Amino acid sequence: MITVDQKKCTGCGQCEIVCPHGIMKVSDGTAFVLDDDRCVTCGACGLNCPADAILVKQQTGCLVTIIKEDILKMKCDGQSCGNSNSDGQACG
Amino acid sequence: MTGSSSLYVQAIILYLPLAVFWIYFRQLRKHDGHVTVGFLSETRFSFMEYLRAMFSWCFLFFRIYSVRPGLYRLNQADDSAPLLVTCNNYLTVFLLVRRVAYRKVRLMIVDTGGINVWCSAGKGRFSAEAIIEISQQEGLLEGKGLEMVLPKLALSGVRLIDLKKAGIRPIIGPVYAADVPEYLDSGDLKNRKEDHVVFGLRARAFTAFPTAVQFFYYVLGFYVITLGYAGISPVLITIGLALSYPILFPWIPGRQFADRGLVMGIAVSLIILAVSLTAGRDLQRTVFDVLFAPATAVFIALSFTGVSPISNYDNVRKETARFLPVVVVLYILLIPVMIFL
Repeated sequence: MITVDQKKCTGCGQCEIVCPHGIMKVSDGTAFVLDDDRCVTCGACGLNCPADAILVKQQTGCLVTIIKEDILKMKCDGQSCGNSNSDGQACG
Repeated sequence: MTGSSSLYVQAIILYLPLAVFWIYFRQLRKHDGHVTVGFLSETRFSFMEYLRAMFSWCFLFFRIYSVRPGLYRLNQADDSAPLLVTCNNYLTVFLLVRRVAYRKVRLMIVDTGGINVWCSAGKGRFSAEAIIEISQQEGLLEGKGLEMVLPKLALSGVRLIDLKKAGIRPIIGPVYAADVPEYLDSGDLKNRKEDHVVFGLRARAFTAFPTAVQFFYYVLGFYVITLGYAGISPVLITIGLALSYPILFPWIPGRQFADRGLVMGIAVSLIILAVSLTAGRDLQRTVFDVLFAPATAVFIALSFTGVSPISNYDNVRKETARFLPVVVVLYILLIPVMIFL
């Protein structure tokens, strides 16, 4: 889920430039999300917003991640997409 | 020779060539776990490097090779040459260098543990800190106005403002390596605002074979454990589904991943049923395959969420909660079919 704080947003357009899916748009001096469903919550917009106006929880839409992090409650060590095994099986 | 031992022999015959390949290519790892890459200095690709790239593609979901991080100068590029930044996944580097092979470019390879750009950025390994560290090691920050072209997909891990604070001028480059030559040839390196992720037929076809390899291993394990009870049909069903699901993905009816998998699995089950009834096939094996196909199709579909660049955590979580129990129940139902029927 991604939210834009309209009060903080300066409409600089950085989110529009960095979004890999082209779902961030700036109109009338403020950013908004075109299509929530198409957002993969990669977090590029939130990380690169100079006004700190975008709140997005960076998450990976991947079965392995969900099984490891949600079901088995294993902490991801950042080795790959939610996968921390020694084989280093990566997804995506 | 008994039936079961002959089946084990068959499975070993299938596993053995892959195991030999695996061990052989693991042996090629040198220099702190990174493979030696000749094409970064000579811009010439050896047969072994092509073979390694092919192997990396076949085992796309297993990080088997990584490239030594650092700064490379292709075609003796000097400090005025464009500086491209990428991960140290072997296949990524191979494909990028193939695209820019005859150009004078500098290549900064970040240590992402052999993981591709987007995944490593998403998990924080492809970061501004990692780029600054290499820049410092290579003495790039000593001069003024260091410009570097970042892959657009790295921006979920790279905070541009941190690079700017370090004196670097980051430029957002193309998403795909295929667009890099045209981008470089344009002469003016600008931010690629219009570049977006496309999950087209080519991208899906690229993932189809590695998906089939991945599931081939799973089903071969199943084959060995069950002493080949169900014959070769589960292996063929799995490979067929793993190859076709990514390619047919947008044309399969359904909204998300798992429901499309279920539709495909049911369609395969109906085909198996029709063929079995027509050919007078053994009931036990028919029932087994009819249950096995949808379970495997849904499992492949759920697994494919991690491969696709369009999956969303909340949606995948909902799908997993809804469909993973279906997979488990269908696989459990296979046990009485094997024992009692």
